Amino acid sequence: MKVTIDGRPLEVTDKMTILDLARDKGIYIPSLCHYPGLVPFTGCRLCLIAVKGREALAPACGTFIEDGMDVTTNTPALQKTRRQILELILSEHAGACLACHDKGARLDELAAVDEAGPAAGRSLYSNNGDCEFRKLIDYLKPDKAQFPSLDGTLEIRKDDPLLDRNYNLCVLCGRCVRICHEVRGVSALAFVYRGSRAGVGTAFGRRLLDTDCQFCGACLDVCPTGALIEKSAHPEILPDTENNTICSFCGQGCELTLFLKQGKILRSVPAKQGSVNQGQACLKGRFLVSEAVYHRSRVVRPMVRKNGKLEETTWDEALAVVAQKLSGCPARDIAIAGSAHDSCEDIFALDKFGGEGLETENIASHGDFTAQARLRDFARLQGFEPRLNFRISDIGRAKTIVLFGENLAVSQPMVWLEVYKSIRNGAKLIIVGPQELCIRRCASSWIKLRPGQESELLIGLSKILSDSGHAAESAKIDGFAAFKNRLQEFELSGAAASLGLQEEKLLKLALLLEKRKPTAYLFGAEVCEGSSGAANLAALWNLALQTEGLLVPLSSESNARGAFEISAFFRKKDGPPGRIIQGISNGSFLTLYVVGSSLRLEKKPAAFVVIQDSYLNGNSDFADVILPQTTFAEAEGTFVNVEGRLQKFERVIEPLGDSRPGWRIISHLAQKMGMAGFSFRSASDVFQELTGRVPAFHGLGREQLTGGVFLREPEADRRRFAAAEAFAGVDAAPSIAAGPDVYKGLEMSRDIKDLRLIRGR
Amino acid sequence: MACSKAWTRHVDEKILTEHFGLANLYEIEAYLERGGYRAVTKALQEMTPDGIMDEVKKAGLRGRGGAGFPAGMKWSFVPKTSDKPKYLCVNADEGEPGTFKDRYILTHNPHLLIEGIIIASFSVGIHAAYVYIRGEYEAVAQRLEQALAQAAQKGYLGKSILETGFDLDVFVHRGAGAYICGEETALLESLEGKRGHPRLKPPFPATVGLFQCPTVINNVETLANIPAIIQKGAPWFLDKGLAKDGGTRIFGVSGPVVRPGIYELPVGTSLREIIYTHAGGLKPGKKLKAVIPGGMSAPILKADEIDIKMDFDSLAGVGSMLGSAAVIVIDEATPILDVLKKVAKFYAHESCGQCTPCRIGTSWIHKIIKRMSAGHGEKGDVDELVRLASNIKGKTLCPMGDAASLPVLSLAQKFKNELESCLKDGSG
Ligand SMILES: Cc1cc2nc3c(=O)[nH]c(=O)nc-3n(C[C@H](O)[C@H](O)[C@H](O)COP(=O)(O)O)c2cc1C
Ligand code: SF4
Ligand code: SF4
Ligand code: FES
Repeated sequence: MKVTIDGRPLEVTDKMTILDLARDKGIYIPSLCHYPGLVPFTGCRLCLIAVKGREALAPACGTFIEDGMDVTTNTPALQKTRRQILELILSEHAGACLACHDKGARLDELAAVDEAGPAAGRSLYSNNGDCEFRKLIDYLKPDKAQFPSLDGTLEIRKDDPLLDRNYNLCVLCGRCVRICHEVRGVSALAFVYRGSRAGVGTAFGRRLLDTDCQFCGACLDVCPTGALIEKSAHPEILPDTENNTICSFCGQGCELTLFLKQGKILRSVPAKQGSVNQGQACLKGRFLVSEAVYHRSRVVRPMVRKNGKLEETTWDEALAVVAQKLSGCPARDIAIAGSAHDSCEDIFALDKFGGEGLETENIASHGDFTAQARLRDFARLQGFEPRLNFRISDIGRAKTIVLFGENLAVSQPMVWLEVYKSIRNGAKLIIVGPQELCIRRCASSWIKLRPGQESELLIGLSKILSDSGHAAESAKIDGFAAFKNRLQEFELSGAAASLGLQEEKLLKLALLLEKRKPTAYLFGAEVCEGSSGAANLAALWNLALQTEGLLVPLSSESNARGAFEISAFFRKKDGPPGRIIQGISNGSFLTLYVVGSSLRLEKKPAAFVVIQDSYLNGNSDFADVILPQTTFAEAEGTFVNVEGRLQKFERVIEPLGDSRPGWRIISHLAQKMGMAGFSFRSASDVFQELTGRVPAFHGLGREQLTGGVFLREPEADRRRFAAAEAFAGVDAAPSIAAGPDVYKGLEMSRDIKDLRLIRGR
Repeated sequence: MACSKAWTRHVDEKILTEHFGLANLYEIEAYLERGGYRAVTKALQEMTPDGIMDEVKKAGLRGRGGAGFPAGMKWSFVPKTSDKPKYLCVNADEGEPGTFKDRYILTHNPHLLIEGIIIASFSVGIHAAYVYIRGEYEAVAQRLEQALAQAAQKGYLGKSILETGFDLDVFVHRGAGAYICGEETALLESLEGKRGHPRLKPPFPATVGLFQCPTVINNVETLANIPAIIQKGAPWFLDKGLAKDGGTRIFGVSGPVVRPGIYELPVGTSLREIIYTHAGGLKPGKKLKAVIPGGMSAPILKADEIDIKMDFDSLAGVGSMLGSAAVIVIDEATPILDVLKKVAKFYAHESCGQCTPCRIGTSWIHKIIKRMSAGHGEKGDVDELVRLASNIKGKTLCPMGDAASLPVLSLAQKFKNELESCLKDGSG
């Protein structure tokens, strides 16, 4: 398509709005209600432009390019119209904001406002010291206030945690309302009233706490004014630096921007360009980073138990004690429990230390208990390699999404956003599991069953599909005949009865899967656990083959996949992963080195216990030595997220106290014990060795890691139906997956009343 | 048939109000006796969907809801090939101040509308129709529900109507009292259970309407004309009008006239004739000052401008509009400021709030007028009103912005002197 903007001929191929095109070409058109990625609202009318041949002015943000369009974006008349509109908005805006645009007067004004503000119970400043509305004022330069300002008539809502709402500053751009509905799927905020009373609020003026609000902060981040204010923000304390990092609170790996002042974290917001999160985050990443980093239970000095009491000491002493104990203990009596929250570098150093330095076989990794690990174990038993990498955006291609048990909105918020987007685009969501989840309102159906019954349901569906007329496609896949044969023995009516479902419901469901291909199956560790785990996996595998399904195994630790790949590399012999954990709780080991606190200790598990962690907690009671580890903000490293995406993060702040990154602690310890191969001087050194040795990481350079790099995995999986043996129960793996609201064992929400409630639901 | 009610008068052959005098026309038996549902029978059994559409196009039937869009053409915009369901939405919101015609059709002659709905649906290929009815019209809605039930019982609605294989269900949805929900896209939002915010066009409802499906939206009176077009033919209908468009209009006359009420008269009847011949002129002692010819959104006409044909094009020619054909008569004793205040208050209250100019502009207009009417008007206030209104006109998302600004502009321009005399340092 050919268009002309301000006399400039332009060529366009994609369907786009005039505003997007202009922005793309560096032509500035003022806008206020527009926000990238949201459906055009065209309410503020500040982006009005003239299109040749059209009588009325058109909003650039909502007018799509048509071939031959001739657009004028900047004439005195247009500017005047925009200025008049801005004056109208200002007439309903806090008076002090007018002074804001006059840079000279600004500081005085703000000081005056600050004095008057708290007295009047109001705060007049924008969230990030970055007021989009003020920029518009600077650009359009309204001469004077045309109307007396009418601000201050609405009560400021301060009755929620984390954020206040001062609707006296609201310009009704509707961005908060739209992001809450269109992107987050929550709709806690809405427009209220009409005419001159029109505004934004919650249903019946309730607190956000009493709505479905998930406190993701998305509204805060899109508000162009200071109407929505983060409680912890202060007008005087503005950040001097910002740095990006990868959030380590869960397995999705959102990119966050941390705002700092004098080396201290003030706030975190989701990075707009984050490869995984694209400007979104959840409660934890948005609000709890500084709480987690500066938490009062942080341990920042090495500690050694003396006379029954833990006492702070030097690294030298603490490491000497550990080195001495470990040296004197036979390898088979030493056990190590790693943490899947740590970086690849930390995990590599630990596993190398255990496997090659201490030469123990007793290294438990939490990555081994995730859905991904279980799926691979299962598949290998069957003789094929599953693909574990996927992209969250792949889910968007599915027309039917089957979700097992998880409350995705809480446990995997970014995956949930993709699922929600698919639903908005017409996909159907089916939830399978015992509990009613809040996301059920977006689901087409909820199959309520007891844990362990999943395979019955899935095999039932497989049977219906294999008997249906649509089986032709699956018949081409290896092993179909045998599979179909086995299904003969399966009794549909019996299964339906035991599931408490009508057979008809099963038929309908199968028809849906058949009609609305491709499908995606999202499942977490629970589905793969226990005596029914293997059967569930086999049934899932087969059903996925029949329905062009994408298997999406989910994990919640920040580096579960990395931990699992690295520990698989160092593992000497295969065996049930539960063995070591079992051993630890049975007290079978003399010396225990525990990293993090995913493993909850209830009694002293060994004669000598070392804990390497960032926090003091219940486990500390059993520690003989505590080695303080940094959090993700204080170290650099890499994480592999749930998709298999390898992401790097840099150090954002100095380590607190004497705390050190995990790899450094291990290196020093190894060196103290006289081991060779631990002379790492930086995380990059560790990473280099890691990529040279662990196959999944082969050849991946740290500089490459700008978001789009995935772990290596075997090219093609052999598409074949799983065999009969899989129907039999395999080893029962213990369930130790950490809940979604725990970071390194720290229940972060503890200081914020009521929040557990929100997060849990 | 004796015609007992003062508000309807025989002048000529009527299309919509012919049998209004019958006490029980809303009962299907009475309606059938008067030849009811013959149009449906003819359309479904003897005509093709396209044939019906052509007939409606030729009849020159323009929308009676306000904008006057040709009905047949609107129907033809619905894509024939779409595999989505299609919907008909009947606009019975009747929110335009001064307008009270649809309620009479709905109360006295609901089956006429139902016939129109069936024929329109058949022509466009629609199997579900929604009547969006003004929230305050509770009794009217009940009447309509009853008529629908009767029609269904007689086999005019539901599955395979008249055994032709054509299915149609009609649902009644009551609004909650917002004027904006009469705007067609806000109506769709409201029907979908959302807040009545007008939608950005394009896409137009004919392609992306209710539940994202192709949708026709027509006013009650528009659809009520369809049966006559089918039965008597397009030429007859076209001929009824005294202007370019066909048919009659129900003029709702209000104000200090001798006989306020509804008058079904040919499109293009002169405004003078409506006021003086049919409505009996002004009450004794009253003198005509001005007329709002098409519902409150229409620019005002002064007393010397009433020799005008009441059809879309003629009124547009003098800068006003026919709108909903609600004729509001204003006499000399009524201060223009009072008229302006009513107008301003209404729009300031009813703006949906989406657009800055409409939301804040109407509210300032109202504030300034309140100030003027309290005697505190200041020099320049009238100009300020004009400035504010011009800044709304043509700059909003939906036509409500124009509806809110045009009457203010016309009042401020045509009665500038009178308004300025209300100002503190005005001449008066
Ligand atoms: C603010 C506003 C209010 C409206 N209210 C009504 C109404 O109450 N009834 C109606 O029939 N049309 C109303 N309309 C016009 C409709 O948008 C639409 O044009 C009409 O229903 C189309 O039907 P028609 O073509 O049969 O006239 C309104 C328009 C606007 C802008
Ligand atoms: S609170 Fe902020 S984002 Fe929401 S409508 Fe008001 S100005 Fe816009
Ligand atoms: S013009 Fe007024 S009524 Fe129409 S969308 Fe805008 S604010 Fe709403
Ligand atoms: S940015 Fe286009 S109307 Fe607001």
